[in-house]
Amino acid sequence: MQRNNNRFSRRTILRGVLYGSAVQVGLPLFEEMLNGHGDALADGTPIPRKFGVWYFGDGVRNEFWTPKARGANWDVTEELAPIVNAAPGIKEYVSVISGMDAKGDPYVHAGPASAALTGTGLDHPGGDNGTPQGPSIDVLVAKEIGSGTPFATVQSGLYNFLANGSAYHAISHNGPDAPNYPELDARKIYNRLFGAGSPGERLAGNATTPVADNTVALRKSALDAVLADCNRLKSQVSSASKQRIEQHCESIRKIESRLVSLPASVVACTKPMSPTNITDAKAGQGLYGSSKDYKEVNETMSLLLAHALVCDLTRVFTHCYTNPAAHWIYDKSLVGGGVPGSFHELTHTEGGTQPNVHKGVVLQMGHLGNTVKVFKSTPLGTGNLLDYMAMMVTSDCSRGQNHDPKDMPFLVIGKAGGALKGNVHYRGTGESVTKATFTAAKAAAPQLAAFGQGGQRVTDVLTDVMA
Amino acid sequence: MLGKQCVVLLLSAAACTGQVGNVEVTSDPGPTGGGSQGGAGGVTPSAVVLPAAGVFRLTAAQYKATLRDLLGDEVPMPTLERDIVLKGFAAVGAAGAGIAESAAESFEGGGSVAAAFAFGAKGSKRSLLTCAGQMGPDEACVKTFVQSFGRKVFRRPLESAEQDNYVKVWKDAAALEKSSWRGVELLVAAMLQSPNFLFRVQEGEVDPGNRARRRYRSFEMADRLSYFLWGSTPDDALLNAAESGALLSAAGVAAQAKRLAASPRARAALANFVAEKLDLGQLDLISKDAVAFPRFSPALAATMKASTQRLIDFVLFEKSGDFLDLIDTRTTFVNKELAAIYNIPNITSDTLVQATAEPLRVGILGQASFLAVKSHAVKTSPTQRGKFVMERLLCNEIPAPDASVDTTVPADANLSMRDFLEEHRKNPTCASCHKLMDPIGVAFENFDAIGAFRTKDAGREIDASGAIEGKAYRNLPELAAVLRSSPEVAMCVVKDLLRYATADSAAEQDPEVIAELTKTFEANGRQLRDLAAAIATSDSFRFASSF
Repeated sequence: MQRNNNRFSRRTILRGVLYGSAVQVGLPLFEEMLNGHGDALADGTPIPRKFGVWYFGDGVRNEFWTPKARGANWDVTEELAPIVNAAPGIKEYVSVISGMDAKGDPYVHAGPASAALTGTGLDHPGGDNGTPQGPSIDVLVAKEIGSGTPFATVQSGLYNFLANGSAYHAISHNGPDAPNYPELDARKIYNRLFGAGSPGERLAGNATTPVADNTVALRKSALDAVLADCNRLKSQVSSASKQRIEQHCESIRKIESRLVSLPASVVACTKPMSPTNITDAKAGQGLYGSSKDYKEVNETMSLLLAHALVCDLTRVFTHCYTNPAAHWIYDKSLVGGGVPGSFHELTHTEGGTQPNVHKGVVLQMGHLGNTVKVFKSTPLGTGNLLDYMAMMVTSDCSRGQNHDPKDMPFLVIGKAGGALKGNVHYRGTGESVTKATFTAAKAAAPQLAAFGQGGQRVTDVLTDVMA
Repeated sequence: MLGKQCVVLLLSAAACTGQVGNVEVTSDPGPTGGGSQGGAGGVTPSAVVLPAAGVFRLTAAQYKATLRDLLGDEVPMPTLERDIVLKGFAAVGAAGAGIAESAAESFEGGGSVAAAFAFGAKGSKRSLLTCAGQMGPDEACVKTFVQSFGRKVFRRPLESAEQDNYVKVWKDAAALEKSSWRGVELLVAAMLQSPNFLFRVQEGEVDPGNRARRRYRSFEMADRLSYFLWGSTPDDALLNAAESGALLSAAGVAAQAKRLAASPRARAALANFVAEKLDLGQLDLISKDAVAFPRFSPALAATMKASTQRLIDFVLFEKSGDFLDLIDTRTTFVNKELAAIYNIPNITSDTLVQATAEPLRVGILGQASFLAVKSHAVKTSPTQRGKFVMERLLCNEIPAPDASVDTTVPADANLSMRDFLEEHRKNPTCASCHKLMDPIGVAFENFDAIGAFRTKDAGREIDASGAIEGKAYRNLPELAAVLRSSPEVAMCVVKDLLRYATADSAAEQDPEVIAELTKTFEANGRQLRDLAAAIATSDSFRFASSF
């Protein structure tokens, strides 16, 4: 696998430029924590692989998205250009998978979303908008590689449109009607991961054990009592209810474990800057407003995710840049006049080859490019974060105009510790998109045996994409 | 009459995606509706179809109301995850919802902040623990508090192991912090995260009088009545009735249902039901194109919501009106911003004041709240508006389009919305479903995507006319008159309230139950309070199907 061979000193810092001011990302893994080659932890354990989902709604224009050439070194198309042009060398990490179909329920937006993310159909679709019948890929991967980290998965996002069922709101699910909603406010993500009393803060303070102040003991005492209630109640209810109570118990246990233990693989970590640039108005644009500040908010969240991953606070994340059937308002200043309404509306009302929809896809992929750039600029091991990551990128249809579930847009970004080739275009012949999802997941979590249910179940990967 | 037409429409709707056995077919009260869905356990075909028992998570609204009832109106509220809304109601979604890690974190933080407030300087800790001495409550006082306050939080008496559990939290925290009050604060924070608080246990037990069904235990019934009729936790009188075992009998339930429904507290809870039926929650999240609608803002959306909530309260409770008055009332409530949208002159108030709407704007369907929610960012959506009338007012579900349907639409900027939709319906695949919604939706075309009145669309005079089963209408008031004369609207309220009360769609599938309740509703001048009391005393509410 190709690796950047630049070793870095203890004082190495990353300078990420964020809205004009330099943001410093401290070096998280010190050299003495790594083995002699820098490609594993000092005790010989490989640097943990990471898995991510970067999601956007309303699809693409396939004619501007899909490369013509197959195999290695794909030709850069208009809609993929903003990703690979975000920084030199990114293309080496990006593989394109095309020609894969969402095979699940035929319901618009939510059906293909559920297919690609969970490999299952929808419960109560139609008027209730549906919920996936099984857990999403991030939750499945986290079970394999995330159980030892303070947060099994972290959910961030920019936009979330209101509908009834959870399939439209959340791209991460523990199961039916059990969504893990994206957090749209970067300040809250920061506080959860790095704020007062958080595992990130303790790690950044080089503390190897939790601070033994009363706060921790008091919280633990309360959580113990709740857990006792939880276990008692679990034994008293019917089997159908038991599972939901158990989920609550599990959540309580996880919160408690974060209080009293720290990840084993990292003994030092540096906090990112508090995202003071995020105002209520900018955080609120997840619900209202135009895409004016999406670039900035997306970059801020990408930086927080990069820190969380390198500090090993989590190994799995989902970034719901926009959700299925996203109704974000197209910022006119970015694309010029003449663009009516929300992006979703535009995909259904614009005629011809939909030049403004195309511009919107290019705009969004520019923001994906910024995320990838942040990850690539984050040193880790002998290279950067992307070297240890498999991040899948997909949407809720191919062409939004007619909710087309065929030929879904799909990217796998990163090298996953050598598991992925990078810079390959694989074109399928209408196989289930679950195979693409499983390939990305398996690159990060080789233990995964299968993904999806029924006709969507897959057990083998796309070997062309794997190293 | 409209009823027959709806059945026809319904069957067409089911067929429009080729679906067989659409669930809503069975909800129809017509001869095909059946009533033979006896649950497991040998319920005879003539018995009522009973809802399922289970464990219901508190909805966000229930959590907040309960926290206020427990710790006072000033208690700070955490930001909670949005509810899962199923079949139109958060209560139905709560029957299947769990507590994910992020939600558990919110409840932990929320409980701590609420308890810190209640036992801090601004709280009313001494009224919560009247037994506390100068230096704070002693162990005996705390034990009494755990029993009495715990009964309110868990909506049942605490078992002795549970009492010990919470007294231990107090003891440990008080020792660590050298403060008895801090200890109480911590035990309350813990109780507010307990699954016994966050989940309403509604599992019931085998009914000794009919072993084929389950009956709710006495305290479960108290919880059930209170969250249905008050949207919050039971008061002492209700818990005492539960303790006496009175809520196991029909008479005991009836007495409490009558008391709760008549109480002022039922007003907000039942208004919340109507607000959910009208999808008002969506006003928290809609966005509009800033160039097309510079007047629109989140604040205006909030005013639209508050205005409709005020109208619901005014019509149903202040005036004790017929539910159907909501369909054609000319009364509205506006502040100066909303008055500008409604073309009502001389309103300068920042707060809502009563006014008479402009001539073509009537009832809840003429409210900017409904019209803005059921629109896109720039354009109106007659489809969504028509769908709302079909589904939420007449209880006929239209299936979602499947992905095989080509949703490419005619792209001619010069078409009016009406012409655009007619062009669209030339595609027979689209027409099979859209003919059920769009012709109703065009009746609202005089109102744009934020609900402002207009006479032209794309430079053409608006034609808002249409017909339902031969009953022609030229505009919204005439459509409202047709709806007002339709028995389906009242029947749909009955179905919805039954679903809201039981968190299940099962009971509404029993035509006899629906017919009986609708008769009661009609006989009482369609008073929502009376319908709620009737539902609370019905077998559908008191009993559950067997596991």
